[in-house]
Amino acid sequence: MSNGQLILVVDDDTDLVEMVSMKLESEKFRVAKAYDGVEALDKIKAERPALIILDVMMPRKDGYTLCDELKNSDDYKDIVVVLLTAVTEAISSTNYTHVGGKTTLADDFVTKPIDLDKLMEIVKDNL
Amino acid sequence: MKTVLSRENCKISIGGIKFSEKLTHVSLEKKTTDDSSINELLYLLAQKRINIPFLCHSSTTYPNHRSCFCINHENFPHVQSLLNFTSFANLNIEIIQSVGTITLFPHKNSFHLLGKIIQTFTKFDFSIYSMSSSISAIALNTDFLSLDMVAEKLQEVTSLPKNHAPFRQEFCLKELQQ
Repeated sequence: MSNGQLILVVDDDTDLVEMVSMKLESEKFRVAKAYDGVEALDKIKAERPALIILDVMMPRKDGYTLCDELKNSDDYKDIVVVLLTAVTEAISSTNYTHVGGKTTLADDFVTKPIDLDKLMEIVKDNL
Repeated sequence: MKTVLSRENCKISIGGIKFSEKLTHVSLEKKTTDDSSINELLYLLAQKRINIPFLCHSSTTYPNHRSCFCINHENFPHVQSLLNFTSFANLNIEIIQSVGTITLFPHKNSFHLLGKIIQTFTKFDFSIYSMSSSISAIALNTDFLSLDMVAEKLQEVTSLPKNHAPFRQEFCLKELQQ
């Protein structure tokens, strides 16, 4: 059950944001949208979503940096973060070291291209 | 006293505006419906790994079906060499250098937004070489050097979030040749 929880979708691919938002709304979630990391942080402070679907590669502030900031913040560490990554290899854990040497504390991840049904499962499992 | 804002004076709230890099716009018109030259050209572009950020097929100009696409400005010499093939001599080809795509999003299926955009382009005499929409965005191809001015005028009819994403891309992804 969604209970009308607020999900923030963050990606600089506007079509992807719209597609994921439509799917979430069809599952009775409320949706906020942002198109880069800086704008996302503003939305997080203003609207405090229950879960964030967060792209990795974005202008101004990338998803890894924003995820780190949230997970190291007492105020926001409880917000669930699901990373969207374009990595092609399967990742066994979200507390992983990325090819570029980045480590993330995200709660879960989805690889692109996105399987919307799988994404919905991950969203529901993490709420 | 009750204040009533007219629809004409209301700004339409959108999520953002984006500019493309400098592009070259290629329009192709085939003279017969069974001519497959355009598909062959697109196939060759794909073979050469030339990215096509904008592609539009139109069947409304029947019987002369028209297609147009944009490629990055720096890829134009490769495309020009393909267009010189004799197999494409039957196409009417129009090339416009230094084009830019301005994208507004999300459109929320609003014809009102579309109308305001067209009205703005008309009022300030900005060119529209082609346009298309996707699930989220309306994209218009205009003169690359006009992008800043177009965005400025469009902000007279639209309102952006306070801390919206930058108009110009900070990075672009390119496929590395194997």
